[in-house]
Amino acid sequence: MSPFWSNPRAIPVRTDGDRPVAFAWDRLHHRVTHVADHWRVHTNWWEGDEVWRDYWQVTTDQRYFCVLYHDLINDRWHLERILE
Amino acid sequence: MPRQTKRRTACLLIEGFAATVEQVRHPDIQGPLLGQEHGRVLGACSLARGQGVREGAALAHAQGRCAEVTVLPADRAHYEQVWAQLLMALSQHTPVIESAAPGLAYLNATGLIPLYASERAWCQALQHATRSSVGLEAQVGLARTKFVAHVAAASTGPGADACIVQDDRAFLAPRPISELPLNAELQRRCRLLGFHTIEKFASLPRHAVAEQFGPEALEAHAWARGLDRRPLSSRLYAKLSRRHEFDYPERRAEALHAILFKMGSDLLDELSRRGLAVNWVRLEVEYESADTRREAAWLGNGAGSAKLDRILCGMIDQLTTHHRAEPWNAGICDVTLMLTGLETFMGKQLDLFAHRADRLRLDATLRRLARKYSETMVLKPCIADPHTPILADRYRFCELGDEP
Amino acid sequence: MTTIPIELDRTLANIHTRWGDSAIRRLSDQDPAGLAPMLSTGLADLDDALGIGGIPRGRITEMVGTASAGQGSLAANLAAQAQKRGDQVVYVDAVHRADLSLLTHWGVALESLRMLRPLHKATALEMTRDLVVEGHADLILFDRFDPTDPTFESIDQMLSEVTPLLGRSSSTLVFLTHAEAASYPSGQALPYFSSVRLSCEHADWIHGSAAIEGIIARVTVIKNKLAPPHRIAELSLRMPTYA
Repeated sequence: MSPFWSNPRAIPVRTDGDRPVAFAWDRLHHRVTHVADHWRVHTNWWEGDEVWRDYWQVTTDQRYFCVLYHDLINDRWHLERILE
Repeated sequence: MPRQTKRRTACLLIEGFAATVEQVRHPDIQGPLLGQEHGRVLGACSLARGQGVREGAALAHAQGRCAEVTVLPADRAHYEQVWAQLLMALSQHTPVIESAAPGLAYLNATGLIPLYASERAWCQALQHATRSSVGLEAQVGLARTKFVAHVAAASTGPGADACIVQDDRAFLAPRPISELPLNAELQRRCRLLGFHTIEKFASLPRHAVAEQFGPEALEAHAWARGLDRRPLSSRLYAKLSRRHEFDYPERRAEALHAILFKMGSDLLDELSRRGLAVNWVRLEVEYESADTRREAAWLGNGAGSAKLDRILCGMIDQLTTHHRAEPWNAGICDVTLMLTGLETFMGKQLDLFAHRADRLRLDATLRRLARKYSETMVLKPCIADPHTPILADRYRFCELGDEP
Repeated sequence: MTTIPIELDRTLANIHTRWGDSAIRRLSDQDPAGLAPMLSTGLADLDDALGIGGIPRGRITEMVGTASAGQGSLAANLAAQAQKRGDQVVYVDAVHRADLSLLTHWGVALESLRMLRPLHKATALEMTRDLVVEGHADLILFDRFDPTDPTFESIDQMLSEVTPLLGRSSSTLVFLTHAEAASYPSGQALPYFSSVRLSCEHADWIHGSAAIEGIIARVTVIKNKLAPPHRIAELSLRMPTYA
């Protein structure tokens, strides 16, 4: 099944501005070849459980189709999902 | 070497079941009648079918074929209740009944005939049970295999003498090819090739059938040769009861409630473990005056403990009110609670609780796994918040829990 | 037409009538014990490539693939098709990475789905074995197996226990294996016990007007005990959006 991590750990990502260009995952180096979608989520701030993230749906040179997000509060990147 | 008992299978058929049930319920309606749901014909009486109305057809089309037909909205709960009552009545005559669809049941007759005067007497007993339990007339066929029994039943009329087949293949031989389970295209091809009767089709070698008609025709070919290997898949059925004897005649409704709720809960658990849904409850009490009184209620399919509790409350009120009216104000000495659990039917026509019995059995298995490993490992996914932008929060996992 | 084939046909028909269809058959005939009941994958090209219209019931199927090769969507389609037929589907989430959004995207009804999420991968195999022994699950999806992971070393014993039980119960067990078919470790039990093995590879992307919208997966039937293997299906799998 498409792996989906509800609480993913941080991964190292190289960026160009705020856009991801490369990351490391599963002992592989991935270069982002295409950004299929990009959106921002900013919610729950009124509940004290703020979520503020930039999501990127990308393809990589390792032929992954995946979703990364940049946690703008902690300044960490996470791999949320690999679509397959 | 012991003599092998000949396999015998009966088919009990009530065509246009929904419409037939409505006819009994509305004897004042003369002329053709059909039940409709969502603009489709759910069941059509024999008069309507005779004018070309077919089940599943669009209502407008049906009314075009039969202008004077009376259309009634479908009452699935009632049809379900009637069918379940009928199956319970038939279970007095055979231990194995397969409910293929409302209005169509297969019954195991193997080895039963010595208990009756003859095969015909047994078939008559089935028809009598149908008439007396639900007021409907059934068509009955008896043969070696399910397919032939069905064809035999369909060849008779409601309430007519049963069609008893001794030689399946000989019975099928002259019958038209349209009675085989072949789709329209294969039927057309058969006719084009000159196979108008089942005998002609059965005489083909198997490999020729596969080559000419494809592998989807092989099953029909086997049935045409009397080789229907489908076993009877019996309907699970259980009657469980508990009895409680009071030390002193009990007059307090609260005490009766408490005892009956506990008994009902235990019985419900037991039925659930067997993968059955309770749908019939009977309560019998014996007063200190030695009078007895019974209350019974139909719960519908899949009733849970909450509904059972409400029914029992109502029954207790009835029974305690009754005994208070007696001049000697009799207390209750003895209560017997009986729950009947049935598999829900999984008919193609009425798909109310599709495969619910399968679900109950799987859930019972999963609860055993949860007890063996951990409740937190056996889960069902649920939608938590479908609108949240955070995908992880859209869903959650729930433990299977104790719900039936 | 010569006389001999007609006489042979007549003889065969007589033997079949007297002794049943299993008594004698041509090698080119389908097994008269019955065509294997199958479960459609919901993807017509793949059903065609499988030769029997789907994956076989009562047996083990392995889907081998790496990330973004279409394996997950394939499994989701299978589950959705099974549910449409009224089958009971259990998803064994051995690695706690089930993507419920993808399942619903392909039509799986979550309220009818049941999941096992054991704490340890070895427990996943035990629970799967128990589930097969008890019966009542028509389709069991095991996600996911890794042939290089030593925690799955008890799989050969588990498979030898469950294989005969699956046949009797018509339950279907599907393993999603994270591996490349070409570099699959040899001597493994799962390829041996599987009746069908599918290799999923990423073939291309589906390009929408503005962005990539999905995957074109090439699925090769690398093993098939019920029909000729080595047939290939190319499947266009559009992925869900976040909306």
